Amino acid sequence: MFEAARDDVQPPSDRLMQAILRDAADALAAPDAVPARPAATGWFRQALNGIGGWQSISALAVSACFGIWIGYAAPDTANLFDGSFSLTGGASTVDNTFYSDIDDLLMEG
Amino acid sequence: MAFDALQDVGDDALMVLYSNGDLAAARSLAFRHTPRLVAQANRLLRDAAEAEDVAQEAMLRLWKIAPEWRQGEAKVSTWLYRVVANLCTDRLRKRRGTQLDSIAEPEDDAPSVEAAMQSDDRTRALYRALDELPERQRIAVTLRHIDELPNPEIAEVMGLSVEAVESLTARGKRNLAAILSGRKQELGLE
Repeated sequence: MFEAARDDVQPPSDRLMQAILRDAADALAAPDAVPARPAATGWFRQALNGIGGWQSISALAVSACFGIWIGYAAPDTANLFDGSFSLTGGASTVDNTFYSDIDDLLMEG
Repeated sequence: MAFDALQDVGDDALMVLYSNGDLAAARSLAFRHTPRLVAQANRLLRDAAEAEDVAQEAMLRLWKIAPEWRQGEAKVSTWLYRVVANLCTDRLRKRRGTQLDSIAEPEDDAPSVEAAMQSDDRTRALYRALDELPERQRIAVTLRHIDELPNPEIAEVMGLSVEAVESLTARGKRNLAAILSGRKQELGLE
């Protein structure tokens, strides 16, 4: 019975042999290709590239956070020259500045 | 290099030629090994289309590993047998799960032993008996008695010791004999 099974061999189809040889050519053409993840070239990547990439996004995020904070703190005045501003809350007024060193220099001058 | 000129070139050398861009070497490897791979997969899966898929996948893995192939470490044929055995095992396990869930017993659609006998098809009866063996026994018996691989090579294919292979094939053959003994008369073996 084993002998009969041994003789029971169907030759591989032409379609299979062609597919195997095509695979061989493809593997040679892209030896280091990692086929798992295609590069992102969709609308999101295009839009991102259009505005300058992730650096622009991070700058935008920082600006947005700063804007939200300014809105939350609601300063009465803001000095564009040295970056100082004053906050008024209830009975007290608090003066703030971002650049204390510059402020000191201005005072000394 | 012409295909005919590569007939006598060893597998290791063909692997080097292929990884250097020689498609004639790939052609030679494909024609040398694919028929055996298809036959091996077909014996285990009993599905010609699936067997061809497995053979193609095994050869694809060979192409991909070619640049890293270490000469003299393993035989290409043994490596391919191993890949096919693993791929078939995966498919048999999936198939078994699917059958348990949704598909009717395959025996219902398969020709009966009587029909096999009527068409004098003992091979089919052998395959059906092999199907009843546990997976590893089936693979070991098939590789030993149909593909006629030596035990050390089967051990390499299955990732087992030679002793374990001997034990597996002995148990497989015993079980096969037990399954077929009830059908000897039907198969005209008595």
